[in-house]
Amino acid sequence: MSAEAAAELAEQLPLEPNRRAALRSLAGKIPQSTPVLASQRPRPVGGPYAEVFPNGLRPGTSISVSAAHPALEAAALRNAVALAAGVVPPDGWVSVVGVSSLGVLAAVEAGLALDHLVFLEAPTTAWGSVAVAAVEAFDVVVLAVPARPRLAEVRRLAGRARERSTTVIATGPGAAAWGGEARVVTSAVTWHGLGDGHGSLRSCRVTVDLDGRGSVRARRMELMLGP
Amino acid sequence: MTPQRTVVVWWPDWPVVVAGRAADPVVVVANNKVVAMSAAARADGVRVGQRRREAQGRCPTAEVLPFDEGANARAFETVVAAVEELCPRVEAVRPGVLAFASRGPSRYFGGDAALIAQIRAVACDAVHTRLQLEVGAGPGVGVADGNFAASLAARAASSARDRVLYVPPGRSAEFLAPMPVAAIGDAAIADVARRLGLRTLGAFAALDPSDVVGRFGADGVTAHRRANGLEVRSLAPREPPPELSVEVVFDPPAETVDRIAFAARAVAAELEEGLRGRGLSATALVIEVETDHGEKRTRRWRSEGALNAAAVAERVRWQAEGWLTDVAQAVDDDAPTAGITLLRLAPDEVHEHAGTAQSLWGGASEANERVSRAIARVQGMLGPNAATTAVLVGGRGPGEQIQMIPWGDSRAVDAARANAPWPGRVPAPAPAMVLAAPVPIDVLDVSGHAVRVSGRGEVSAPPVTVVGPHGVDRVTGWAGPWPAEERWWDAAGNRRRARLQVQCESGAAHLCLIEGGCWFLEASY
Repeated sequence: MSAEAAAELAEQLPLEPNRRAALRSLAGKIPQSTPVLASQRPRPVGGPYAEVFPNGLRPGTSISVSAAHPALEAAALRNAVALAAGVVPPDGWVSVVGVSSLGVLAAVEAGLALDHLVFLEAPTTAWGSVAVAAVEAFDVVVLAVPARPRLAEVRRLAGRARERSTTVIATGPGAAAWGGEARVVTSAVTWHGLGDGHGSLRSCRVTVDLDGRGSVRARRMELMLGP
Repeated sequence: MTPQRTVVVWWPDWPVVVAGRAADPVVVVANNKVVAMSAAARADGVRVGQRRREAQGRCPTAEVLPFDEGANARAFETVVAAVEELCPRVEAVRPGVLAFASRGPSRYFGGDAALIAQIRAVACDAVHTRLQLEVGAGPGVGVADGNFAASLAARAASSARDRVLYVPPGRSAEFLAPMPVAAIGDAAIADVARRLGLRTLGAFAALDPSDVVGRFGADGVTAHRRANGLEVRSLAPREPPPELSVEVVFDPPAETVDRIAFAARAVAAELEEGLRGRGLSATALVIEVETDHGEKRTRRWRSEGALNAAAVAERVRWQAEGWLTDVAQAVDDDAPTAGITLLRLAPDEVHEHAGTAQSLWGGASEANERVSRAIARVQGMLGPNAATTAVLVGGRGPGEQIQMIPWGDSRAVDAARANAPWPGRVPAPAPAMVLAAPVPIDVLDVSGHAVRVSGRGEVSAPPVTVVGPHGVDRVTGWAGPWPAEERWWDAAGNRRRARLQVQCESGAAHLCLIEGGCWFLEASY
């Protein structure tokens, strides 16, 4: 029972004044926050996503990363990789499930270690089993969700992820259906460094619409990705 | 206790013999490092472990051959089978080296000298008539107390005149004493010993055993006993309980090496797990297969140290190479005549395992194991290519710079290629989305004609619109082209391409590729 609930109870119950006072003092002794296991505590997020999740992310959180329209799919993928690199613990393992078009060099530039990065194929018929295997073993899973996933399967996966403290980053056509504790929608991209026939792409500013449950506030943010 | 008399047959430069080039100056190279060379190349100063370029510098006339592990194992299986006709319980150590206990066969043939002559004749005959290869100087044969001393004797014998080195019983320690400490077979211990000023095995052997265990632990005791010419353990090897052997059934019968090697990885891990659960590790292993026609083949493998899962799987692969190629060629009456239906791995000699234990709180090793198990599950479901890791190999296009490797295979790459400059490479950042196959698109100029790139690397007109998979998009910025002319010296492999970065109104930025006058969408940023 939390301290507030106990204090409230002390005021509401029909009690003699001295007993009420005793109950009030007991309520004051309950610690303000219940203790949390170290593995369940939010971990700080690194990289550009530090400003999106300033309080860190609890391992086991599911986040969907999608694009507002198809032309921004590559930018959404860049967001997903940046987020994965931000949340992976030191020496942690990352798997990329069913994202056949991911630019591996971009993942390296974002800070993922190739010797701890595993690419798993996920044909539609075996998607659920591959995803479960990945969620149960890896620290971070970048998961391509098919267009119309079975909702029961999605709920089961999210539950396993919470239980095993695996951070799931859902992308692909079904990312919006995934839901998750936070949703990151890439709505616009501006690239810098390119002129009219000269220069080269250098860095980009993405606009993301953020939405979610709990401590995640719905808002629009601008992030700088790239060096 | 004196170890049993052992004969080791060591065929120097086995890969060169297999290549059939013992007479010419040749160098065999794996992963850019020399693994074997012919006598002519050795005379010019080429040594094992040198970089390929250094070897070529020392012996410019030498031809460089790639190392073919499968061919080496296949050819050596013929030699082991021939020697096995003379004496039982022959143990393959690795391609090029075999060992057996000499007591029985030596009496049968009338002494060690007669036995050695027989073995050499049979081994040379196998190479000459069955494999049709140049014998060259033939193998070195060493006889001594115990496997370790016999191996070193065989190695020393391969440079002696008559190619035989006989260490009398009880004199192994004397024979070992002047050898350099690096021969101990444990790089970490050899390195420390050298820095302590112990330059020979004799000096290391003279240390007090209690000091050795204090400084080097269990591995140090093993090395110390070896240097003293003693049996590695004072206890007799334990007879393994039968339930430790593992097997896998193939239905339909396996006829490819890959299938057997893949299955072997899983059962080898199971075997190691079973042994470790009892605090044991295997130093000798019997690999047994049964074919569809009911034939049985077994082979005993020995290793100086404990055989871990990876080493076991590797030996199964070598063995399968040898047996299955025989099926295909049907050269030998002894060869299996059908696909393999059963593979059994039985530990033949086990010791108490004093190696690493898992850390108490799980930690990194537990996470790695969890990941390995999950990947094995996925590979079991969808095949070995369903789980891959990437390595950087160097190249120009974003897709060419990486190579995907099935999980469990070696991640070694050609460092020279990976670190070389690649003129024509588009600068960082890399695209986040690389299409598996480039998609045809149109890149048009202001008058609606396709933009062209001249041989001098100039565009015919600035691009204005891109017609791609997401419809028509107006270009707001562009740069390039980055021309890439590849293999201009090679008529068949020659490719001329150029890349263009374009940024569109929708926010998308693309890497477009022109080849043969056609535009493709290669990647998106």
